[in-house]
Amino acid sequence: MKDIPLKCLFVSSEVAPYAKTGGLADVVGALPKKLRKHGVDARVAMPYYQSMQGKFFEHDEHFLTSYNVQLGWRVQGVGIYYDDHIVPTYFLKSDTYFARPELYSYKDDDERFAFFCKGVLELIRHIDFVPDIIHCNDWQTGPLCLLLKDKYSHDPLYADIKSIYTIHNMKFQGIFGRERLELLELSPDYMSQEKIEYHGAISYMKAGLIYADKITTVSPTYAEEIKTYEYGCGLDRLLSEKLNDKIEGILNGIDYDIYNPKTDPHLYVNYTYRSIQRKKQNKAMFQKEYGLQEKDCMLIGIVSRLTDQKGFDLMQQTIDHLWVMDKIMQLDVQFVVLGTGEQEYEDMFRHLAYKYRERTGVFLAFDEALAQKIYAASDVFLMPSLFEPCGLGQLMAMRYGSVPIVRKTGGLKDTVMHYNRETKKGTGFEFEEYSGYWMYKKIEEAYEYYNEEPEHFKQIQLNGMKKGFSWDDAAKAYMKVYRDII
Amino acid sequence: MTAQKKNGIFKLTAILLGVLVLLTALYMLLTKTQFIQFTKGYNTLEYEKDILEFELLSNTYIGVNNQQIIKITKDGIAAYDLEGQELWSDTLTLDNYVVKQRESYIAIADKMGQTIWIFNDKGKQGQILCENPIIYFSVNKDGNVAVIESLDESHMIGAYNKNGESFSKRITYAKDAVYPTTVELSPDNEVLVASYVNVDTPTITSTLVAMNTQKPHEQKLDDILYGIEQKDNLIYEIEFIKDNEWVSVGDKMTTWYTLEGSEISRKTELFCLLNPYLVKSSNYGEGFLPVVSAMSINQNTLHRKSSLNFYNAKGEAFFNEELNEEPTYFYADDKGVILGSNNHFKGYNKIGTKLFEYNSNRDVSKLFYLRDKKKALAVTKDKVILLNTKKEEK
Repeated sequence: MKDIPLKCLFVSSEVAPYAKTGGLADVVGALPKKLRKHGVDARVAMPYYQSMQGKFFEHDEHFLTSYNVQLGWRVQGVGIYYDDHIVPTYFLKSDTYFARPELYSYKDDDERFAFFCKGVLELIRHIDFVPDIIHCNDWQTGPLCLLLKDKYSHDPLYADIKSIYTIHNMKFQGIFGRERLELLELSPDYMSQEKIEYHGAISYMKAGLIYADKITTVSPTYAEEIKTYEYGCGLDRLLSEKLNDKIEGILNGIDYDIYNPKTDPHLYVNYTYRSIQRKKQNKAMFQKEYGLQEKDCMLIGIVSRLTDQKGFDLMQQTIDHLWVMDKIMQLDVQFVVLGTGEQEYEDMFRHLAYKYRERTGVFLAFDEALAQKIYAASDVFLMPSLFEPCGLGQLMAMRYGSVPIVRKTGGLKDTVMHYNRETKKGTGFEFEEYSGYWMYKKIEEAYEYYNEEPEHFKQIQLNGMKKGFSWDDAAKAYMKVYRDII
Repeated sequence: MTAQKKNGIFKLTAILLGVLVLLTALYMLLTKTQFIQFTKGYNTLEYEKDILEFELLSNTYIGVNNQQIIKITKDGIAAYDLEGQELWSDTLTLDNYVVKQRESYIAIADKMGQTIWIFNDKGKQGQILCENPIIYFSVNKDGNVAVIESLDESHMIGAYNKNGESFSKRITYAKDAVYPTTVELSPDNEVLVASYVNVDTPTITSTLVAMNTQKPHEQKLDDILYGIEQKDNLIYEIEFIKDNEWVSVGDKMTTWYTLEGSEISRKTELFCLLNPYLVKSSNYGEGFLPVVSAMSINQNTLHRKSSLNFYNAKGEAFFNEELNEEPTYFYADDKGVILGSNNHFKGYNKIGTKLFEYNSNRDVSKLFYLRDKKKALAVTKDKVILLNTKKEEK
């Protein structure tokens, strides 16, 4: 075993607060910070996107070095910028690849992130930091594990470096045409089932899974689910048969310093679990500010990407010839939705806002301050996800005393416990069958508790607020994994 | 016509009318109880409509309780009428759940969970919070429950009423290598009968223990009414076939007892292939125990050709039919049985008259016959289908 401090380089395509499209950025934004508090020399490498320029640090002052990266037959230059005001972070700047408005969804994403992976490996030659562990995240960094193991490990500088690959979402695998092998300077031998071939194409995620020394996912349940046909997205057999011993699920956390109803500057009124009665003031002021009827009825909150994965198609199923959405609105409830996503769901919520004016607030945007207000103002928080690797919304909801109603999958299953009125234990309401009927029934159950048994409802809120989902436990679990492999 | 002759005609008419009334009453009695079927042949069933759909991959239980269709998933329970309209529902959170039915009650609990929910045709009736994880439970016709609970180094046999109040308790220490396998509460709630198996003897020994559940608040040193030992027999099922008679079913022997513990009869060559679980035990007549058993034994080899046998409360066989196929589905209540294998189902009343046959071209896992409505319900992997009786075939 090596002596502490461990040196760990996180490699990710997005990191909060610099660039974010989803939970991946939150994790890589928070975990290295927490690891450093536990004595690990954790640093981060990420692309320097166009949207970051001039926002976070003085451009020229933070320039560190530049070098060339060989990518197939091309040679591309990369500039390295460094900032350590949050966590020591290396930004790889290439105007060719990253000076674009969006983070992803370009035709040459394979080339962009192959360049990034290779650029990070080359970075180690140019800085005074040789990590013990390179911690890769999601498909964008999968090739790094392969290159490290098969191309770089012969070099003494890299020989002792181990890699960890974390799956944040199995659905996005980075599948590209086989001709792209040349980008990574790989021979046709790699087009085999044992290597990175995936139905005649190459899979960046598979490169990460096969070549990493350890695989982690963001919750224990998701670690088991991805080994099944329903959740494995075509890699279930590989994971369950060949890589089973390499996989471990470690639950994400949330930053309790930032997400704290006691100190959160975005709230109308701050509160703790001891003063939870003040949460109602947040609801009243939210209703006033956003034009909802000012009354004490159950407020259902949603803060989410509006996609299939998040289970919003359940709203379009029917019960008694009524849309589930309409059936919910037959109860004396209000609805607040914040998020962007697929047109179909944006239109559905627009329709909801039109049909139930003064009872519905629909904000088709991404607004972190408003999200905090919704967590504080809502009584229940709906997450009917089809699958959810970990999910942070329910953790924040519980932290703010909003009772989660979730589908029992992935991280939702690991973090929310159905309330048992006899034992007074439990932090929310769960349903397992992916059906609008049971989603509605659980909302109805929460509604009955809210209106008829408020003392039980308060108990659920308090149970959730007292639960600990900070990054400390996750950091300790990752440190154990690091020590086990080096 | 003389007055005497008139009187004679009147008397004859009255006698004839009386006989006619008697015959009519007798006919009605016999046909109503289905003791005699005047029409030969049996019904077949035909598709009428789909009435319910459920998730293919979800672990859904479908049953029938008092003419209501019961759907249980990990998220809760819902009851429907024959049109598929919801009558009532309740939310639960279950994982690895077990359902026990004894009309008109349904009990649901998770294996190794600590809560048992009790429902009847009006919805939730109660909730029992056990002190320890549940290994086994059964429900009686009053909705009261007998439970085997797991303790650290021992087991507890207990009884609870449907309001969750415990009214009987007995702890057995596993260090004695004695484990309870099954427990039943008598229909009058006065006796709890449990079977313990002792694996620390040269041959497996089962001990049936009957406990008094009355006067629960009286502190007694021992509330055991009687114990019966059966050597070389693993008892895995206890059935109350009448209010005051019960049967123990073991791998080598089936025995009939009175509630007081007197043995009525025993069968040593009754190799039950399917457990005779009665969803509803008979209130009338002799009571009956239907069994699907292997035909005969030849040294250590069972001939798997099976037969359907009905036994009365005295342990006497009164109906036997050889089966061409070994059934995979076996449903029994106070009115009769339904057997099924390979999408072929047959229904018999409790005296052994065949009521219907049904061949399905769909993959049917369960079939329920609603005799009063002359309809049946077939359960496929993702649907409940309503079936109608078709004209009789000779």
